[in-house]
Amino acid sequence: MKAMLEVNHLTKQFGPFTAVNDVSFAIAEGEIVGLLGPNGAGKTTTIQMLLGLITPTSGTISYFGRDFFRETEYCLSYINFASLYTHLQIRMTVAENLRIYALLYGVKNPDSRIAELLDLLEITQVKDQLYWHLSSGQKTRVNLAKSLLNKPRLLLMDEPTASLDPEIAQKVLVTIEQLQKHDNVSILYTSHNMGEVERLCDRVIFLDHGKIMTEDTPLGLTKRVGKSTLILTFDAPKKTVESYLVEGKYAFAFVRPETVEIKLSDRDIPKVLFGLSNKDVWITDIDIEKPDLEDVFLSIAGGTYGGVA
Amino acid sequence: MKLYRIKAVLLHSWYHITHSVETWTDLFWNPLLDMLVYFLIAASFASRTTSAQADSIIIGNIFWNIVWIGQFSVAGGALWEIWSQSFSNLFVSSLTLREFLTGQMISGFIKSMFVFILGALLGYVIYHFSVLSFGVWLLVYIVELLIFSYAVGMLVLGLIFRFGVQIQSLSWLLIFLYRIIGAVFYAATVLPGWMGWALWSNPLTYIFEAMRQQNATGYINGHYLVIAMGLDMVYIVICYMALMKAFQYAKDSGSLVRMEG
Repeated sequence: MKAMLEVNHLTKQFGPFTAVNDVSFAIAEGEIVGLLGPNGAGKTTTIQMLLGLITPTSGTISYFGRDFFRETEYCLSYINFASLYTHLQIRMTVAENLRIYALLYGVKNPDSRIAELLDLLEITQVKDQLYWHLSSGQKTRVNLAKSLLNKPRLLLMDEPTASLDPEIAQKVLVTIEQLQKHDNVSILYTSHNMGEVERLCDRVIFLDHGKIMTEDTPLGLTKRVGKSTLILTFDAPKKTVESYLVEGKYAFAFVRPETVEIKLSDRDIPKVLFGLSNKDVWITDIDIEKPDLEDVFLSIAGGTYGGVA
Repeated sequence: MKLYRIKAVLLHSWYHITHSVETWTDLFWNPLLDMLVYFLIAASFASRTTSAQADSIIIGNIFWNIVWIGQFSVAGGALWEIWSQSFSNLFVSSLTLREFLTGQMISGFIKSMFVFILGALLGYVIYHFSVLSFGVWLLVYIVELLIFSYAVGMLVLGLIFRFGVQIQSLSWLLIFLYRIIGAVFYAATVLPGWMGWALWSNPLTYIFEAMRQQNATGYINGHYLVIAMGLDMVYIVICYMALMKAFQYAKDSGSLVRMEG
């Protein structure tokens, strides 16, 4: 697959502090890659280097096979950026702001492109409102419209849905999914919302203290983090269940006399269910809690993650 | 440099001006009130003192606004973006700092000419002073003043990139130092001798002295105009280089993005 972005040994030092330490990764065409990590992990600094707002101490960045530092103008004209933390000019209307960015990106027929994007993001009604009069949800969608003006081949998104209400966040996520599906746009996505990341990202890179801790698909990462929790409610003597689990050397805890939580690997789940049935334990309710990216995040942030790629 | 991006900066400046009362106040309202007051003072002086002295006040006021507005357009144009947290958004497009500056300079030229023409009209109506009496040399004076104003604008912007927005007030204040050491309203001989180095090392002194001389005697001080142009070139080259270095520093240190809060 063609690499839209290739980052090699990217490092940024601010005096003695190393914010980003020897980071390398690539993003293929149409791929959505999540860049995750706790606050201060180096995500935003990495994105700012990818945009040319911060100069790296060392390392290389190339977009579409072209060196970013030699062909900055070309590269920037085919990428774009949306973030909760940067804004458009507050004293201009939405349409005026977008017209300026359309001109900056050399967009042909800017007015029809702007109308198309406002319609797509359902914000046509705020077109003539001053940017500073918008709600944060409207601002986010206007920023997103700005980031799509030049039909970017690669989009960098820094927490685009933070502080949005669930309905608007859902609309933004759907738009991102459509971009990938219909326009084959590659996206580098940072967020603290693990559910979003699991839903959108083909691959996830975890950063901590400026270093890549691990990199995999969301499923691959959660598989590495640990065991699932099987929660069983049963109609049988507690002692029967307890002795079976002790014998099988499972980690378990009774939350109520008739409910037990068992930590186990996925492949042991059927074994336990059949084993208990064979002991005449009537299982009335089964619930399985699988580890998610939040568990991965917490284990990395807590320093207990062992699955370094 | 791409023309369409410079056009975007110009359009940006136009949209901003149509919505910002503060910009109207800073760039138009205050200078016009200033001029009105000074012209009336000059008119009242004219009956008691020589016309050359009163003319100095008129000339100083009309032409000073070119310097003030030109420099404020360059430095202030960037500050409005920083305050809006939109400066970095502009530069993640392919816009270069050179294109941004060019756009701001053109915008500064248009704004300063607007105020200059209004000032010239006021001067003519209140005091019967015509800037057209300078003939074609008027263009030379304007160009030389504009170059200097852009140089100071770049210097201030460079200082903001280097030291952050805590020194943003320099974009209003630094230029006023040159109103004193540039002998804008009075003859250069008025300033004490120990200030000579400051007086004669900036182009404003030569430009305003030449204007006063032409107004009083009709003599064109070509020597002063050449020195002023030479100093303008030195100032603009040094200030441009300082600005580029400061911009690079801001990118190296991360302060470019931190400025936006």
